Amino acid sequence: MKFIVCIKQVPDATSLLRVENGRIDTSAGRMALNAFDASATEGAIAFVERCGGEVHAVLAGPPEAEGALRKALAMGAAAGVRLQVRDGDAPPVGQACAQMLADHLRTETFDAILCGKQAQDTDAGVTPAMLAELLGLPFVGNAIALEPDLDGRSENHLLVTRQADARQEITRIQTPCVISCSNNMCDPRIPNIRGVMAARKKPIRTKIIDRPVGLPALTVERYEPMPGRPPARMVDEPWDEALDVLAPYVKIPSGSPAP
Amino acid sequence: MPRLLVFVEIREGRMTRPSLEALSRCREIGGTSVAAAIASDAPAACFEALARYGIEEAFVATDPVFAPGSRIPQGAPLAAALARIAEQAAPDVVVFPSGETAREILGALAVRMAAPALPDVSRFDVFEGGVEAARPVFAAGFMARVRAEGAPVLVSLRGGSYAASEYPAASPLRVRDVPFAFDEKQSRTTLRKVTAGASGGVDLAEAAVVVAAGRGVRDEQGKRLIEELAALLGAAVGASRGAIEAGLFPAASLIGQTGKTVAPDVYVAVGISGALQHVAGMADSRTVIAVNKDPDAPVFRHATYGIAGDLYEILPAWIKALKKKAAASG
Repeated sequence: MKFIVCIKQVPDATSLLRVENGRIDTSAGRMALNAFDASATEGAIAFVERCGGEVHAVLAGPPEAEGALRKALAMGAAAGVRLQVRDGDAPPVGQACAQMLADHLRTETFDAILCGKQAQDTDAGVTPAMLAELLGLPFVGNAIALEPDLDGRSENHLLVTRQADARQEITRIQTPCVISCSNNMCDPRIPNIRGVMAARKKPIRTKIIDRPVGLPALTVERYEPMPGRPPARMVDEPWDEALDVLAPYVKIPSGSPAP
Repeated sequence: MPRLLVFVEIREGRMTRPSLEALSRCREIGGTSVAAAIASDAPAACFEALARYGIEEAFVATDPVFAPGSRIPQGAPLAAALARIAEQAAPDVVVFPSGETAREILGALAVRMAAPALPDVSRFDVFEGGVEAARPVFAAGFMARVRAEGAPVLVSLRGGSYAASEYPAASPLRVRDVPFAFDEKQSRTTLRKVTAGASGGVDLAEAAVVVAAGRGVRDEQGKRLIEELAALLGAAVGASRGAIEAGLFPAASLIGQTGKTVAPDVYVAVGISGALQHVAGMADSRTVIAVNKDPDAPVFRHATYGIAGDLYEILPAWIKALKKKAAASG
């Protein structure tokens, strides 16, 4: 199987970010490979280690975002492509980003495209399904396991376990396909020194493309800090304040003896 | 008045609570210019309930592919049915209840309908030609005020953001049948196996009270205490990543950035440290009661009431005290 993982560079989850004049100031924080995309990368690499094949990575972003691509290469991906828009560094978001990835992926061969289920900065998670729709491919979202279809006579299927809202589903999906991955799929490996050294020699191709235009308009007007709660009231035994909140919900089966 | 269309999700033959919340919010904004979109094998079962929520028009795609035991994953047929419904209903705004179903179809519909998509909003308002909304981002570390223009604008609404409240309908429900047929033979995906979700029987998205376990719940005895308290309160059982990794709770009960988002009336966090990723899934709960051994645990920054102590001593005492209080109040 040949996998292409679509990845994004985002502010590291542990970096302290602040809102300044309605914008999020990311200058103080480190940038990192989106954690969900790291799971997708690990899922693809673990699959090809077991069953054969190769993993490529693609990222839309400025030259500084190559760090995320190098990370994927250090984990075990064979090659990377960085998509750079001609008119500036800010990568397109939402549907324009999906459009840009889809335009590139149409020029590639692959069995499966893997994405993280969402980016940890925007928490939107609409790009994977957009990508599938633009490419006309079948899609499964929120995958937690990926297996070859062993009892299938053909090699063009995968078995994907999906965490749905109220159940788990094992879906047999025809390749080529698009799958979005939960971070419950796996623990992404931390690249070792050999991996990091090898990644330096792996190819990263830069592709300059025109920014997609004419797509639906969507603007972030401003960011705000989350409205905080007042500090918790610490309650000691006999915990009356807390228990009085819960008491109205107590369901005692009728006819049961009083304690 | 802008026309609003609400995708009503049906699970086990019933409309989900987040769907009813979306209906109620739209009814509040749009009055009677709100229609329901239903894809089902037996849609008539929810007509009476729709009327109770003040809905006077329903667009209905009927097909056996939507039957509870269907062997076809629901994403593709739902997206196809909703695209047909939207074509006929010509709405200005389409509202979905947030969740994994919406996640699978929102992006597909945005492309198919050339529509902007605002996923997982916690507040929204409709203006002429578009939608203004608030979306938690960065694991609910910040709120993004967003604005989308287009016809339609697609919105998915986080559960618990608005209350589900009934409205008396002024006129009987008008049912619009939308011609729809799904060819199962053309499907490139099939369901091999389906396993049930969380334990306890109460659906997290439906529950008024959630009892959630964290890493502090470290064994079967702790799990039993959680389940006993939940059963007593008619609550759903949730878990943090730590409790799931310990193998005590199923992955379907995960609450957080990567799992479910809940906003119940009361959220009881037991042995949960309060990592950002977990808080992202429960921050909108109305009252939060947190129990943790560590008085400096970050969870207390997100709690209404904090109890610093050992859950293995506190929960049995609570269960006893709550039974006593209930018996006393008759």
